[in-house]
Amino acid sequence: MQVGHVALAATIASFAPRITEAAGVPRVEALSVESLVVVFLAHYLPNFDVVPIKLGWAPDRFHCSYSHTLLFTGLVGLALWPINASWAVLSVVSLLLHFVADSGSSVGLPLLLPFSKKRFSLYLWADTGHSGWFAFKSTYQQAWTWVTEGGMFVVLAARFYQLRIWPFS
Amino acid sequence: MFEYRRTPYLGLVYAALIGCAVVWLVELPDRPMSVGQVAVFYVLSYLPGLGLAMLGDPAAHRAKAEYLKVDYYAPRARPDSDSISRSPI
Repeated sequence: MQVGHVALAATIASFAPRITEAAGVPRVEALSVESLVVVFLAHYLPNFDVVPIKLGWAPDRFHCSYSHTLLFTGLVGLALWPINASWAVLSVVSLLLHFVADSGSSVGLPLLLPFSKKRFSLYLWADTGHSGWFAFKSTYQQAWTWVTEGGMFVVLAARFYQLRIWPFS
Repeated sequence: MFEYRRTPYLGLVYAALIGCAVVWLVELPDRPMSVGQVAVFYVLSYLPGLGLAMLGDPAAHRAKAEYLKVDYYAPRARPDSDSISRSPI
């Protein structure tokens, strides 16, 4: 998933009050600056593994490896918990949903690293690289990316209606 | 991107179906949507609608099959690697 991550992250931020209340941590308002910043940073955090690749510090295979694991999710949650429990909960939810969104890609997610190298994938679309115009263009030549990512924008619009946000105010 | 000319138009039909379904599901009785708001849903529904239409288009399947053949994460040859430096000029 590429552009669809934006809609998914915004949708998660729109559910911030329900997520934080369900977890029993201080409430964060829907689509507040706090929820948007925390959710967007956490949701995109796994894809920051492209930075060391671009800098030449890691091979291309580093993409979708340790940053896309349950261990990484747990570590992020544990690191944030002493600072702000609400941020920790929102981050864990954002990371887990990032993995769900990426599960359709053929690259597969090594969720159980370092305990297992098994990669999980629904094989809905072929992965064509971690960045660049070709990866972007070729992703949208495939049907399921439109279905899943476009569907996320429809869900986000439904949330805007429920929360009375423009153009549904 | 499309082999059939009908694919983008079929997407419009699917968008109408998706848009109607979503409006029916989320619209509250005390807050009926205006025509413009329904249109927003219709326009956005074209994105997944087009995807559904592409599921029946061979071009999308061919693209996926072609891309699946390539490992885009395979190590690339670098100028300082043995294979490059040992190759005859």
